[in-house]
Amino acid sequence: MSVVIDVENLTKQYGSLRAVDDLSFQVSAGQVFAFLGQNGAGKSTTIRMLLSLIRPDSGRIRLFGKDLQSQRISILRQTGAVIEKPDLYGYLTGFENLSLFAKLNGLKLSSHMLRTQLGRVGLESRANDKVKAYSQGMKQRLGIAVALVHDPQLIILDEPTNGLDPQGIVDIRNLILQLCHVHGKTVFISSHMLSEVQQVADHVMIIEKGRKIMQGNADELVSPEYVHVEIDSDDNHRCLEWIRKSGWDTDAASTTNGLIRARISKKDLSGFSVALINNGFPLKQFAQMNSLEDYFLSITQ
Amino acid sequence: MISLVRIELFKIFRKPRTYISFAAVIIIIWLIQLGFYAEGEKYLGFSLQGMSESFLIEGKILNGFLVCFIILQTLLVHIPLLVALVAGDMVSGEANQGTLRMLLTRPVSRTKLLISKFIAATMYTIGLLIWLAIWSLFFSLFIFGKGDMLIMKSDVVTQILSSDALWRYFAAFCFATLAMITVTSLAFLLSVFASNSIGPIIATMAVVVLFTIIQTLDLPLFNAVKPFLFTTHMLAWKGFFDVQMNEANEQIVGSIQDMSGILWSGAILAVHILFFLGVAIFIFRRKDILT
Repeated sequence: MSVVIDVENLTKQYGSLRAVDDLSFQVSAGQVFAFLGQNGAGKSTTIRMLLSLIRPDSGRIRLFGKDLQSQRISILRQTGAVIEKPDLYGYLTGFENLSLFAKLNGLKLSSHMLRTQLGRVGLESRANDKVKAYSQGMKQRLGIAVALVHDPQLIILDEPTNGLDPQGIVDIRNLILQLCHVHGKTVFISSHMLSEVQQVADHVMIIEKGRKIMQGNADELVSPEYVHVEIDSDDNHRCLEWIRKSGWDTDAASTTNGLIRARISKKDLSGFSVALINNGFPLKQFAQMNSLEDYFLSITQ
Repeated sequence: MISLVRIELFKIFRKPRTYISFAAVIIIIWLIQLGFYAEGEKYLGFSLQGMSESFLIEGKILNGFLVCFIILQTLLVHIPLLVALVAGDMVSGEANQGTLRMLLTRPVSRTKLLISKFIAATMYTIGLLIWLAIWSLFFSLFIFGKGDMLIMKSDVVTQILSSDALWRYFAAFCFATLAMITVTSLAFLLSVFASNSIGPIIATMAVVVLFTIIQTLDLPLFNAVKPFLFTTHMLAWKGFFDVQMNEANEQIVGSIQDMSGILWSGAILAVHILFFLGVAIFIFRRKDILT
């Protein structure tokens, strides 16, 4: 499988803050690659560097095997992006915005083709309304239409479901899956809605303080053999000590809201809860979590 | 490139704020014309009171050419603000809206994008000056008719024949356009630095006002600086109304007293434009788009 994005030792510093720190990763063609991290982790800076909006201090970015610095225009012809919120021209209509961005891509699309593109994101009936009258969700949809208007091979979406209603979220999720699995596009997606990412991503990378802390196959991260449990007992401090010392999970930790988070083998789960009670820790809460979100929280908190 | 310029022009002329300048120009011109139409003769009579004791003044002094000259004297001080309103918004406005990052993720060269924006801003400035010419000159001629021009300076009165005036206005408007393109390029440069359009507009006006104050004050320190200020050279359009005299102290029709001075000022303005644009390109090519 060919590599679409190849990032090597990328670094960007703002004053004393190192926003991206020696970051390296690869994205293969046809993948839905989820890029996760808490606010301020360096996701947006990385995405902006991938689109040459920001110049890295050091490191190298190759897209489609080409150097971004020297072949920017050729690369951007094959790339579509929505970064954070899609800011479009409020004084123009949705149709005019799409037409304008199509022209910027060197395309001369007919009115029918442009309306078809708008229909793809459910905006055909509002094509002639000014964008300033659109809701945030509609702007998001239009931003996605703009990103896809030139049929790019690589689609970079930064928080694509921001501001969307539940139906809109489902539509975007289906669109991403369709783009990847039907049309063979590569999708690089950053989102804080981890449950959404879990449903579409093949590959996940998590960064914190600008550094990669984990990368792997989405299915492997949410292991079928292990589960994260959140525990609340009468004395969480003593309980945590006991879990660590007794070897159930030596890396068990406190959460920010004072609970205990532990990673336990699924087959030992019932034995673990009984052991807690038998050792004098009556359980007020024993919640089992097995989502990407749980995993994300467990390694970033 | 042509396509990019067309896109930029499309955006400029779809923005309501663009038409503020055109509306402001027409309102001011109409007010001045209305004032002169109602009380122009009285005003000129008062102004020429001293002269009429020494000279016999015949003919129609209040005419379209004179009114246009007065309008230009008044208005060319304010046009920079109207020019800055659009030019100062060209990059900073897009940065503020977030559309700049949308634009720059398209396969477009940053240099070409910036140059096309500058060309579009320049075309807007040219359009504004043409608009000014139509209403200040042609509409004044329509209302007040033709006639010889009397231009009063501090110690000199210049008379320009009616048949000798029109080409001078054409030249003056062309020069004024160059002067306003200089302001456009300054506002455009400042626009590259900012993330909101108010900053570059105010900064441009601050520079123009500051330079104009320095230019007005007759102090030795400032006199040394004046030749280097672009605002000094912006007023060289008036030179087209200084007529050469022959040995018999008669006007030479079709002549200009100091053509080399006008050309020098034009060259200095052109250098300013190239410098401002060059710096803008240099900065923009390296700029991190954080908005």
